[in-house]
Amino acid sequence: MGDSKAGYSTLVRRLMELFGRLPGVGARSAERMVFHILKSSPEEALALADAIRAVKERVRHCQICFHLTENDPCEICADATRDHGVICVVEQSKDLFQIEATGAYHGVYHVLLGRLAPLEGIGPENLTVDALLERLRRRDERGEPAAREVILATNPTMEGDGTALYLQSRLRETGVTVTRLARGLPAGAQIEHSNKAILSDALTWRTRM
Amino acid sequence: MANYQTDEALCLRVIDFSETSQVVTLLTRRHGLMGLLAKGSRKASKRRAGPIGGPLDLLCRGEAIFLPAREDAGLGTLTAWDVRDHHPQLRTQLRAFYAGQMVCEFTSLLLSPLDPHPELYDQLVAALELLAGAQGPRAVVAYMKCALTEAGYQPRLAGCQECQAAARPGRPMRFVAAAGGLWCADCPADKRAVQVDGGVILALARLPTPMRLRAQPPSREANSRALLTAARLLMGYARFIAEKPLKTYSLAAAVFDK
Repeated sequence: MGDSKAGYSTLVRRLMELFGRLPGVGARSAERMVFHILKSSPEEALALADAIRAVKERVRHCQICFHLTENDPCEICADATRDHGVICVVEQSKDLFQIEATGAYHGVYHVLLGRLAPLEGIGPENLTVDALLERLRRRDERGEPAAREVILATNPTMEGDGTALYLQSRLRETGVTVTRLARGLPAGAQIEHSNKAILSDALTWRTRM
Repeated sequence: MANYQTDEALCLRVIDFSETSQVVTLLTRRHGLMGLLAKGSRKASKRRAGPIGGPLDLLCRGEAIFLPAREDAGLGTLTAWDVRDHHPQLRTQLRAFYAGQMVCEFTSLLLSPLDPHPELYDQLVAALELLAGAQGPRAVVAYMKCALTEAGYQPRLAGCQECQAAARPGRPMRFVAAAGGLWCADCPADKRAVQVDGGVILALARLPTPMRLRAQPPSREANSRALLTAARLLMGYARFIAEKPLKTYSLAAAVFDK
């Protein structure tokens, strides 16, 4: 089989390889992106390069919640109008964005930066669990615990559930109320088309009306 | 014509392959361990995920329809997946979750791909059912013993390999992983031998299979300390066989903690 990148200059080939490493980008898409860059104005192309550099240099984890931010503390932690007594624990910043997009939550967050995955060798020491516990030990100006509820919003996968169980066991000592996101049938779903795991969860976690 | 196969399976490993697909390792009942690409399984709705019906999860049991890998390719293709049991009992108790991870890794470590062990599959299904209950710790050790036996490495626990002295409570014995058997304190043994009390060996030798435990659960309470020692012994043996450390070794203390 011939080399699909044969005939390209070294620089063009390198850029294609780098674009090709991005998630969801194959060789053909990488090639199209490089041609788009070559056709665009120098300002436009360099703005992209500058944006990538700025993101890598300035975006970091918030020291309080570990969300991605340019300012430390992040906008959510610094927002005095939010309820700082409720902390929603998520696996990654992407989950936080999803919860924020609902507009239904007005508390603050804690990003674990992963989940327990014993088979991958990922243990509690690889997550931000200690920082969460430290956060829960803090007292407000009246000497009351700063947080009154922790919502465990890890994914409802085996590892996400395992992470929630581990956190529950560690949070017991803090005396804070620990809740877990509800699970089961989504609004608009039809029982006829639901899979057995979802239906089984919906029955197990049914609520009183 | 495509060689589609249907088999019952347990999911032992899941890796997100792309935004929409997963690579999974299934322990199938009649075809053994199999690496499969589950195209589109991560799509949000069941309709979009197609016959796979959504993302596969660790230790879920279901019916799989798949195209096995060709000899020159590493991965087969999963074309349909129907979940039968997602093991909610492993998701509500930390000890059971850890135990599930332990038996999962133990299986992957000892079995070779495409080497069917239907009996061991049934034992694993039984063990998973027991993990959250009173027989959970017993089921972990019983399953480990079964897995070693099925893989052809049955630990020889009848007595000293040199002088045939039987193990009994209080008699110090040594387990030699390289030989897969016991030595008594009086006979010369490999320096890397693991010290173990004869009582633990007796309990291990008498431990029924997980299917037996499920059918006839023993009424007497399990000795957690002895089970922990036995589990560590078998995990050490598996580590020697596979020449690979077990990532779940450190979880044993939490699983057998009373």
